[in-house]
Amino acid sequence: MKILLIEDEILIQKSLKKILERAGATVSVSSSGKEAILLINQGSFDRIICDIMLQDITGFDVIEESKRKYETEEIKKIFILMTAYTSPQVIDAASKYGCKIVSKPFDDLEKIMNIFMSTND
Amino acid sequence: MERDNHPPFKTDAEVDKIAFTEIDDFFKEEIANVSSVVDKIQKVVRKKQEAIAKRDARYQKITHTKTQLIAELSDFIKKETIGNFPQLILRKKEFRSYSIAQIIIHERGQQEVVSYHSAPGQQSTKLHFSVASFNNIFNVVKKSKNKLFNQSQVFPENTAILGSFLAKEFELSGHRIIFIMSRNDFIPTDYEEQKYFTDFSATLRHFFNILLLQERKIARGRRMVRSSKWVTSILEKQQQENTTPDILHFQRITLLGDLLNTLKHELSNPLFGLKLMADVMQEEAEDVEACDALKDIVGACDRCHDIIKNFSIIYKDSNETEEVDLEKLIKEVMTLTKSETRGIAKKFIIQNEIKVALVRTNITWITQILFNMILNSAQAIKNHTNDLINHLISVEVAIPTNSKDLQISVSDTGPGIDQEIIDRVFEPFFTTKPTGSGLGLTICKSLAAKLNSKIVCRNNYPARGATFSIKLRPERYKIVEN
Repeated sequence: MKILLIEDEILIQKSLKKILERAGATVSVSSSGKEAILLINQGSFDRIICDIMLQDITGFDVIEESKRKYETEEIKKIFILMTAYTSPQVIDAASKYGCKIVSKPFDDLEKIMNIFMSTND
Repeated sequence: MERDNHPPFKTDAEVDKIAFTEIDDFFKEEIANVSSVVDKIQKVVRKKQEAIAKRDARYQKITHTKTQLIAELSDFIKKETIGNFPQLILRKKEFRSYSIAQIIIHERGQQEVVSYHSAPGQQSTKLHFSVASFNNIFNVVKKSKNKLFNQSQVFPENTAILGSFLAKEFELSGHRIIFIMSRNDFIPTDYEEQKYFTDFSATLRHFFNILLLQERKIARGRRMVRSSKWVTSILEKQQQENTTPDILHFQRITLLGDLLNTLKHELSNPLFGLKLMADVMQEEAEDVEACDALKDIVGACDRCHDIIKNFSIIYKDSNETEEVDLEKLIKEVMTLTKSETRGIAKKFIIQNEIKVALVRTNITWITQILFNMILNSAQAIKNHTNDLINHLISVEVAIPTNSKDLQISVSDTGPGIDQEIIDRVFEPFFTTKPTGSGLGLTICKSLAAKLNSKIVCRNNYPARGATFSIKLRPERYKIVEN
């Protein structure tokens, strides 16, 4: 499974990359939303795990840009959003795109890993 | 012959019969059409009548309330001036729980803004503000939909209002008015109250017009000199002296909740990173020592996370009530007050029989009360002496004999409270500290009222110091088995 992980907290980025690779995935990483958009356009990922609060832009901006490449249905399946701020507004905004959202920190790492690696909806 | 292709001629009688049948049918159809039109018209008329009846019923209701209000205000207009208007409002039973009503008036073209406010049963206090301040708050109020505001939106000169308040702006031909009501606590009003206030304000407009017209007549009769430069400069000077830094202090306290929330999120991200990485590296650890060290890192991260979570619970901005373990909560609050109470010995006693007491409360309220009581005790001691060694703050939870109430008391070994002022300590802005805001105990009092309790204070005489306590009624708590 080809995964793109967009997370600007370096420790989280590196450790999640390791854990996902151990589970058999091929993981590309980016700390910046703008760089991630380039990678998305150039590559083809089965899954994009994206933090909402990035240094330069938000995860929602990344999804908006990806609409050029992916249909709405694909976006629902491919993107998984991550956030430390689970306010109702954030959950509302995420539900507009229909993709899953996980909150940091993870209570149950195994459960989250299963979500990250899931292939069917 | 043509004749054979045609149907036989009818007799005159037959023709007549056909004609009559056709005419009959025609009329029947027309009648049916007309009937249906009449039906439709009747339906429309009925609907209109219903709508009128509804409107009349509503109008009756409004008129009745308005009539009541008109009656009250007519009396008022005859005898009193607009300065006493706040008191009139506070006398209404719908505003029973309100501590303060204020009316701020700017006469167009004038350089000064006048305000009158009072608490129930009190005389009106008159204040003056600058037009600039008035404009600021007028615009803020005008823009707001729910007409609900909090402490940070009060302008500095307005020391009358504490905490959250409702406000409505009025633009009249000769004046602009802001009408404010507050319960003087930090709890925002709920939707029902807001709606009532908005509806009520709508009926006031008309009467402000009358009142002000009255005032103008009186003023003209007295030939008051209003716009002389000398008068204006005196008013401006007075207004400058009214600025208090205490309100700014309060705005900071209200901001604290927001800041802690932001801090929580900013800290939890790096902490999560640390924990995840330590977890991951445990699998790659080459020896037991490294593995243990990494386990310790994970443990430390968990502890940090718990601390952040507990602080967040305490500063959660909500009106929710839940069941709180009192012992745990008090211990949390004592941690919160660590820096203020450093150097002073502390004791926490909870009766064994009531080891697990669950209190039904909003966490923020009771935390704030305890926090303020402990802080007060610490400050009483520290303002009295630099030698903190022989001093003690003790927090006790007990059910006093012959009582069913749960009592939480905070006792100190400071100088105690002067008998002359002991009745005044809960007053707003009353303080004995040089840099005190005088609002801490006032807030506690209002929060305790929310819990259907009272805070009382007494001196520990003949022992040193004073004790502040709050008693929770039986419906507020329950004791459970450990």
